[in-house]
Amino acid sequence: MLGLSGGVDSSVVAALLHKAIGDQLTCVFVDNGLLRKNEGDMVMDMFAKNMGVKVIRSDSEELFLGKLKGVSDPEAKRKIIGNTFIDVFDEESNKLQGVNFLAQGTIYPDVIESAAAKTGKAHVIKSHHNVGGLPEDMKMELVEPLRELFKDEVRKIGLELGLPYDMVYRHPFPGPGLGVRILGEVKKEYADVLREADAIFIEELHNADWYHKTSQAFAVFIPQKSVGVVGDARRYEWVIAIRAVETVDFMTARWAHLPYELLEKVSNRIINEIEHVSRVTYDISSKPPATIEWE
Amino acid sequence: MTDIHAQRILILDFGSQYTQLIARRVREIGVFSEIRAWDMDEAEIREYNPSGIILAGGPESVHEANSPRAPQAVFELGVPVLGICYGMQTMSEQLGGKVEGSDVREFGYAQIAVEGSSALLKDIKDHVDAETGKSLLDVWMSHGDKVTAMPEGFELMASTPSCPIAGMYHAEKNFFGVQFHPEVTHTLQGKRLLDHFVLDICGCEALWTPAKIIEDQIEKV
Repeated sequence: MLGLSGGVDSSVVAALLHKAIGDQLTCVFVDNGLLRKNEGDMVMDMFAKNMGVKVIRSDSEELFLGKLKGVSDPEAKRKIIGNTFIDVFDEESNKLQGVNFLAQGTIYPDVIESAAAKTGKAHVIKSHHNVGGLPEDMKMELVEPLRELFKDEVRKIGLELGLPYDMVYRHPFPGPGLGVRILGEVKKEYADVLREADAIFIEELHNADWYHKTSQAFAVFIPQKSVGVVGDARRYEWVIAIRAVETVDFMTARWAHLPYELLEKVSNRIINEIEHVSRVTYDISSKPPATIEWE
Repeated sequence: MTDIHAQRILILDFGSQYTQLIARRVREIGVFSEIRAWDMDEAEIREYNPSGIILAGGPESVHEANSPRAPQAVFELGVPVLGICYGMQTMSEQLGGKVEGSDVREFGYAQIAVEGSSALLKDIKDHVDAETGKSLLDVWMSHGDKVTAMPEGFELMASTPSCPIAGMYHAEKNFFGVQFHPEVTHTLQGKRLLDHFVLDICGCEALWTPAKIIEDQIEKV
């Protein structure tokens, strides 16, 4: 059994295992309602339709959004999303018969960092995030086919296994998804607006050949209305921020100096095409002192 | 089926921020490499049976109390050993050479003159010194201490005006020490140096390729 997130590591594990054991592999894909536009369908198309992998899709938007109701604190949101994911995963796995192995997309840097944490030789410890830890009563053996590989080796394997370049070289996407790109309380209407804005931004980045020049790029929903004027009428709608960074080394990032024409096109499209957006602003904060994500 | 793990380079980590880079360079050459802490158990090292060992750098000084040393087994296994920066210093210290502290830190770009005729630096040069006819290499240094006397049996392999022993080698035992960092991109031909070590000196074949890795994992699964 494998938890499929749509990210590179779990996708490569899925492709590799499918090649090795075919339908002895069952993937569980949890759609938490906080994914990007059409992402759920794209994952299903790629793996289920295209590659013939057995994928169970759990449409859990209502569950997740229900648990997030009234919660504004970023850390609280992350915890709730993480815990709810485990519950859903656990439930799905209980429905399956004869699952003896759990596959994970652990990669070599995770191994090095956890080993260093054990011996105390590292100064900075990044905890190995395996979806927040597995329930103790899951009696399964762990299979980690990528644990000897560095990230760039994982990507090369991904290509070799036939995964598309665009998927393998996609920007990283946070576990809590749009949950941390909607400031404060998460509501479905906010997520829907954000999905559209993000899709436009990414599309225009690709069109201008800028997507792969940035390390991460995304839209942020700011739950604050501002005034606009359209066709002589007053509008009062939400604000969207767009964010794009270039990584100089892995510890600092600079806000991407996107061309003005690109910014203009993006802003124009977002405000014109999305009814509930009045304004677009560009985040010009580098890391440090800011962080890449807003929450 | 070929065992793509059979030939492997063991990298002992003394705390350098570049240690992962070494592992990745070796993998890029097409040979499996693994990083372990410097105090790896001697029995484990023998069991690991590496084709070659690289002692990575670190922020320590051999003079400090309790500073890390490579397990003695490293020098007794009969496999080639490459010591980088602190790795070279501890190699020197452990085999009877001398390491001294220095007020002058060499940090950043340096140009070394190739000395002797080591297999490691064979046919590698960035420039030729017009006066002396020696080969020169552009490298990246980051150190304070330096080796001031080589252990017995070692010959000079590289030097700079401020660091007379910037590289040393023992031809028979295939031990090599470099004060500079071949694993960073600022050392222009660092990769060729590592090619020499991994492929020629350690005699490894380039089996660690995406296709073979996939084959190997599928078999395992």
